[in-house]
Amino acid sequence: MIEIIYFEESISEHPRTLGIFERFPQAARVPCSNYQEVFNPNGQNFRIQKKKPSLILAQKEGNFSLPIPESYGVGGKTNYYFSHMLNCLYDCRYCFLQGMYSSANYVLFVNYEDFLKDIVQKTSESPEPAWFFSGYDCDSLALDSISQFSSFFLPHFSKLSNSYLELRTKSVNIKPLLKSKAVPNIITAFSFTPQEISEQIEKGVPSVDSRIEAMKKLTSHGWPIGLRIDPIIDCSNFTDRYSNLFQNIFSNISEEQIHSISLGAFRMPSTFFKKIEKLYPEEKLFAGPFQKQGNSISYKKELERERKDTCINLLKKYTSVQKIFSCDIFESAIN
Amino acid sequence: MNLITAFLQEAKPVIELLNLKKVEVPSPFKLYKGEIHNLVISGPGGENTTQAVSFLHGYLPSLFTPWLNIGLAGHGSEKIGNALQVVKCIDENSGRSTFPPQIFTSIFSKTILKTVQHPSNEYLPDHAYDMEGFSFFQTATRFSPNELIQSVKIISDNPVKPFSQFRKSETESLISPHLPNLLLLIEEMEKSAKSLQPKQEFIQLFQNLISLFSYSETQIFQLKKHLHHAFAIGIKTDSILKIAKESSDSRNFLSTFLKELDSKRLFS
Ligand code: SF4
Repeated sequence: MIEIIYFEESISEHPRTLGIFERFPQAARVPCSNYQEVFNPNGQNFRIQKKKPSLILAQKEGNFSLPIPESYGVGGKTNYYFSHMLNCLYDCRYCFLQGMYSSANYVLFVNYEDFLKDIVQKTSESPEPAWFFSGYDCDSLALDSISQFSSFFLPHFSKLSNSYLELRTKSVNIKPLLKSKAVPNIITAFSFTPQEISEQIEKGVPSVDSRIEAMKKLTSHGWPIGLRIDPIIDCSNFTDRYSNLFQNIFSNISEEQIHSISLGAFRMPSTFFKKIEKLYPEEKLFAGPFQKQGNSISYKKELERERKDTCINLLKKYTSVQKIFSCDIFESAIN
Repeated sequence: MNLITAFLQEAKPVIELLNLKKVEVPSPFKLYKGEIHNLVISGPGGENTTQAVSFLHGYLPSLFTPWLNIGLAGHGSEKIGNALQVVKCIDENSGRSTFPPQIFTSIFSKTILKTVQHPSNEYLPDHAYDMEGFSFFQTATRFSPNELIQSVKIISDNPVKPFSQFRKSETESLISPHLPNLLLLIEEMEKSAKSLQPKQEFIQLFQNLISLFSYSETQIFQLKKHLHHAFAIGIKTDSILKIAKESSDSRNFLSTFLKELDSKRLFS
């Protein structure tokens, strides 16, 4: 329930702003000249703000989509990410957003048309299919009822045949997708950790089973889906837990309908890690066997490789290696 | 919990509510204290507010203390006697704004507060007016997280009954009806602050271990980190004390402690 809506004065009459005002008639409306006045001040505490985030409506100026490193993609050569929103409904303890932002408030950029213009231009300039990843600074679908993101972008991407859209999510809010015809170049990519891990460190995230159920519904409507095993969390009974997770997924979802599977180890810029550790000093996850490598915090290299290779070997039982992508800084044994 | 009002008349109902007692302090500001609440009366205006907040922090320094400003204000469109929580505060002098994050379930409606230099009979709709708010926020945010710094204004004048017609004797009767809701807000702020403070068990153990050896600054940092990890993993206080008591010095203790931690780091 949103109780406070901050809005940039320049977009007070924007149709998307007015629509949100209408959907939250009880919310107090607070004008600001720039969203950063509310979002960026020093002295905010992400942890207590997360208990009750407010909504900030803003206009994005430039840098609508930005390139991502080739190694983070799922087979495409031209890869961009874009963020119509900053921050997330859920509260995953490993989430780098807690380290990147000082505020847990949700920022929604209402000028979708400018994002689209940029996407169309980048698509037309790209000789190969261009990939656009949404869900880097937020969950793509979790707050769709507020943002109406999917109802705007889906019809446009269905016409952009030289591009792909990845909706990365842990949400089961798939109604907007089920209402429309499946679009082959829109991949809804679900992230997973085993249920026992998720319960402990992914607060508010729907259960593994309900996410599998959502994937099942999407695939039965013809929508392609992706699996994102990211971050891989080292834990006791690692092999059994990840094996059960994959078994659960592949006994419910047909392999042919899975576009890609990516694996990512836990990694985070050390400045973010330090900040998050300070916010949650009593968090068990952060007492794990991490080490600093360059400017990043991650599991020890050997451990990380071993865990990733275990996942790859487990996945090979169900799918071909061509569908498996490794999305992080160290090489692994995909081949 | 620190409370601040500009005038004694504004403070009186709160002093009674929280059963605060006057404390003699070498300061121009009047201070009232209870078991967990402190109230300072700043006097009017930004300069006094800045000094009173700094005085109270200096007198009773604490890391995660909530701060609440309670006071009267004018308003362009609200009825006399309504209580409102400040969601944005504009300093008329500099044009700068601050946005106290709203995380509490307080039932007070929200308002924009304009902090002015002098009392005025000019009112904009949807705006409250005082002479202290901006300085309060600016100063208190140096000492506590922004979320724990809030202000509630009770409307004393408006375009229908302007400031020139306001009588100080009305103050208590304007504030008193809002005491139950103010108390709810105070309790919620305290609860949030408590959630940020280290556990008593942690503090005691830390002090105990500090008293056993002499530590360098770096070692104190390491000790805190080890202790946090130990608490997260669930290593018992007794086991940590046992390691300490069997160690010859801080270096030896920290390295044995680390070995113990490393053997138990696996996430379950
Ligand atoms: S779902 Fe993703 S974006 Fe949301 S909190 Fe978890 S990791 Fe962060």
